[in-house]
Amino acid sequence: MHRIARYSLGLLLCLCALARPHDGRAQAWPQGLGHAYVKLAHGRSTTAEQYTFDGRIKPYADHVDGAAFFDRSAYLYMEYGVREHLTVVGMLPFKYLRVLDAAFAYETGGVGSAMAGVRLGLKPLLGWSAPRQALALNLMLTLPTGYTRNLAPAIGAGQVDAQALLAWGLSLYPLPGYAQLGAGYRHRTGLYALSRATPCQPGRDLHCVRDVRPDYADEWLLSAEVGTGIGRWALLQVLGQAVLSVQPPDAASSFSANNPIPERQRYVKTGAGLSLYPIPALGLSLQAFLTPYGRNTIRSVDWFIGLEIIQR
Amino acid sequence: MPAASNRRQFLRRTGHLLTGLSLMPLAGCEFNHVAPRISGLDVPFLTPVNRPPAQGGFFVQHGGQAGIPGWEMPDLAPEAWSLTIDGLVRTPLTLSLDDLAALPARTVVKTMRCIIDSNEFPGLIGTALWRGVPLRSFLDRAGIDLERTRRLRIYGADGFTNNIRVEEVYRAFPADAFEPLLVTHMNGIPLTREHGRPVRLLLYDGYGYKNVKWLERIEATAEDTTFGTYQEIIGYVDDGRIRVSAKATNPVFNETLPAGPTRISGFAVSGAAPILRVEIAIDEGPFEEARLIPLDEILEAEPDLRSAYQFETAGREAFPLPGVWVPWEYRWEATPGSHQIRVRATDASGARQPDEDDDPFDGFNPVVRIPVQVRGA
Repeated sequence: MHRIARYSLGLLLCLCALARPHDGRAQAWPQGLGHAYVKLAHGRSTTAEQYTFDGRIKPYADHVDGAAFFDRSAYLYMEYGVREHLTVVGMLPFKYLRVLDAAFAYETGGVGSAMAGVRLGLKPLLGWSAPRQALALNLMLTLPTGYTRNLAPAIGAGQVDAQALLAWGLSLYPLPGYAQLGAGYRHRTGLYALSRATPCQPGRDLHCVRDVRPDYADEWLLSAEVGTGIGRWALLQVLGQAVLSVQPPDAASSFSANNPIPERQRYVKTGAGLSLYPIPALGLSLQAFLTPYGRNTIRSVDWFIGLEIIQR
Repeated sequence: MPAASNRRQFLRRTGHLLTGLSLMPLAGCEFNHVAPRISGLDVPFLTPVNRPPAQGGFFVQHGGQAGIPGWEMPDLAPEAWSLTIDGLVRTPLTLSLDDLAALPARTVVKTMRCIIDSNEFPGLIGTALWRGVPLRSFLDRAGIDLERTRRLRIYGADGFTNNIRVEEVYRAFPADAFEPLLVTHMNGIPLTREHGRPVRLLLYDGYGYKNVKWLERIEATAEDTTFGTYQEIIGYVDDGRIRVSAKATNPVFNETLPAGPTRISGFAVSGAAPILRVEIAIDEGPFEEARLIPLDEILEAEPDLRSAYQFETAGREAFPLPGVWVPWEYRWEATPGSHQIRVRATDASGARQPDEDDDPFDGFNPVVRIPVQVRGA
């Protein structure tokens, strides 16, 4: 059990379920050699409610009318095909978080945890030639960029994570669409060397929480995606993703003011996206997500607006 | 342009971008700020039951809410309520409100403080007049086995649990304190649902989690071990006795003040002994004594406080009381610039608020430090 930092009036100062855009697009398909995809997105995540460890819905912060959690962040996402079946993938967020309690507003901004990894097309390795299907292994590292992990709120968990996600895709040709399923595993390494902590006295310093380096539970990752083209100029997507901690959320890992960084959380996000391509190399995208299921996490509505650059 | 050249160029640019962005925190990109949404104020001595905390009302905290799966706030009908006393007793009892009403009640004053109340404002703390009857009467009636009983396990209807040592009931209490009570009223009205209707336990020196709400069972046990929802899930200190601490409510953290004569105020409380002194230091200056507000001044605003049982047994001169907050004030000639106000309390047992304490669940709060900005004239 971890004794967690300062308590603060029903305030949830930090979270791990920090919103970020749907990881990649069509993760079953590696980019072609020399092809690139870059997306600059702005995310807006807002909530007045949280899911407790046992699934009850309660106010995010007591005695605050309306929304009490605001995530206004920017993300730079990139894919580049360095080999015919090997794509490098990276994501860098600039996080801005603001949370409220009855008496104070807490805000933190900075470069959050970057993600870096590769997407490996498996069909050549497996000798699989099904023309309308795709299979890729996505290996990613989450890397803190030197931020302070125990600020209130924190812009990331402060530790290195490693994840593997296997994505299977199906082209619906001759229909102009695709479907994709993904399943993976995120290992929370417990390595905190890439973040730092500021000295903090719980009960006195309101800008920070005690640096406890929680023992986060590993997580299962699931994703589903269906997309259809509308002519050559638009793509409509239905998206779903789930993050499920291997160990069940319980009171000791509760997403509460006592334990502002939940060590175990589960959530499902469902949403839709629309991308417009006025020219083939340039896209404008809009995604929206709801959180219909959660344990130890925020019950947020997440919006992302993005600018896509496609190099073929 | 050939693909290889494209690739090199893309990778080079991407590398530069990532390197630059990754160094942003070191370049001072990271920022953090805590801004008050309210101004400092003096809280009333008796905390209103039905007023928002930011206006000085009670902040209600339910221990089971964060620890018990499927927790729901009980809504117990007083006429149907019962309390079971069992375990190491000769005759298990089931009590009703009529049984409590048959005994002479006493009205006591007590500060209800959550163990993790901190520098936050308005905070998890409040003071009320509570009316109830001694628990000991019913333990005696049940024939508690004092030879074997070590602890009383306390159960709330919401599933929340705690314990008290049996000697916390069967001991000589100082005149300025009171023995554990089963209380039914708060500030002159029946307990509201949020405060444990119809009956909660009340200990003069205990943090909030020792004063179990929606009380439904007390079990006498020979087990001399930690028992309680908060102790087991979070690791709160088991004895639950309020440690000495002071708190400033005016100004609040990071508040901006005008220059000139400034009143700093707040309160201090200790469960072990009455507050002896509160001291203030500005920046790195020496600690100077704040003025503890005398009881007569408090009674002018809170005449109901005269009915407190502790004043019958110990006299008004006994104020400050253990387990009851005492307001304080300090006059400061604020000069423009950034300042830090430090506050600490000492109780009559000699216990003083520690300079440092990084465990929020041990009951101690370190010396308060409140940064403020003072505007120029």
